[in-house]
Amino acid sequence: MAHFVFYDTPAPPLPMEKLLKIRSELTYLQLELACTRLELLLRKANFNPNQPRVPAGSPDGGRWIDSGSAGGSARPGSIVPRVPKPRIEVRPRGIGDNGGPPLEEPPHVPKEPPPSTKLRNAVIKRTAKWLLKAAARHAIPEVGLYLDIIDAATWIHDSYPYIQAYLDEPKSLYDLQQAVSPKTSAPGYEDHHIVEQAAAEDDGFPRSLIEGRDNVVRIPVLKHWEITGWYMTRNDAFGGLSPREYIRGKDWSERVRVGQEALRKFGVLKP
Amino acid sequence: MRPEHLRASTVNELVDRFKEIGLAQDEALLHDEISKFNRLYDEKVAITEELKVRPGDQRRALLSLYTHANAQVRLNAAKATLAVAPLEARLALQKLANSHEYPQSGDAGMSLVNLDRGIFKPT
Repeated sequence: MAHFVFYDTPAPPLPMEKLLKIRSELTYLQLELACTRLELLLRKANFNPNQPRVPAGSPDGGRWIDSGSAGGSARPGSIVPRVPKPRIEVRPRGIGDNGGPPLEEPPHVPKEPPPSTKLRNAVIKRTAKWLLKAAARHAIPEVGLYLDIIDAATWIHDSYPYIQAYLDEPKSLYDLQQAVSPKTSAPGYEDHHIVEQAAAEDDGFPRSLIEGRDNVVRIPVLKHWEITGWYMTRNDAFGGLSPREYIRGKDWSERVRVGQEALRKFGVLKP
Repeated sequence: MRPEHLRASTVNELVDRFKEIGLAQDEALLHDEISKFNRLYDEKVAITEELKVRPGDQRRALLSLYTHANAQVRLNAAKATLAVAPLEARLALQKLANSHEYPQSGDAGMSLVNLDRGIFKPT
């Protein structure tokens, strides 16, 4: 139980000398606090007192110029344009309720890169898959938190174009075909043959048909990998054969039909 | 799982192994291990056949996997039960096709196309 002591007489006044000393100490503490705050602000802004400045007399006299060091674009008064930090944009997809099980926890993204390409690709695929699922469920707050987490793993920034492309809405066949250009490459995208080229060549179809403008589309790399994997795996829906085995011996139109259906069902081609 | 182990297993054990295969196949796809996926496919077919020949066709026990968190487990269960629960299995495939859980969503969508075209004939 708490005990309270009440004084019925006021405390005696402090001598003036003591009051002045307390005020002086308080002023010193306030000054020290202000200095600490200023130091924190300067650190946050990457301030470097030795960074060169534009000489006095010119229109930008006194302003900092880029000293060529890494990350030098974010200094106060810099005349070098800021380089935007890489960021993935995620927009809600569909109606927001796909009837599936609840959205699971997002996959872990290690701060250090995994030791092999295979393991790095697995992290990138998991990340892209989770973001797409979250976008389809309109789980935008969860997406925002997750993007902040993966931003801290700088090794994955190079893969952002791959993840961003994976989140593309389905496109028309015309748009996918028009994107193909032998002169340009687009990060995160690859050219894909609607009718698989190796199997078609083995079955005697001419290269002119296989490489024809109608048969090549530019699609997200991660989708390309998924569709290629699907073609190679055995499947009840094709009588236990892989789709690649199923299309062997089929005519060109049946191959085109399977190839275009696959692009639709894998969310690349508009229905 | 060896044939003698299949025959000696209970229905629950077979369902558990069926589930494990789906999880392992999902990992195999993630790491581009196609041969491993296909080996697991053979084992999955063997389990489905074993459930089918059990009295009363025990493939219906796989319906419990329709709500599993993993998309590959749901996909395998839906395909394996098309002959014994066609309406429920088609609905499960349609839900998966709409769920944006690739590559399984794509596979589910293609399975529905092949069912409609008579290429996929569940028995």
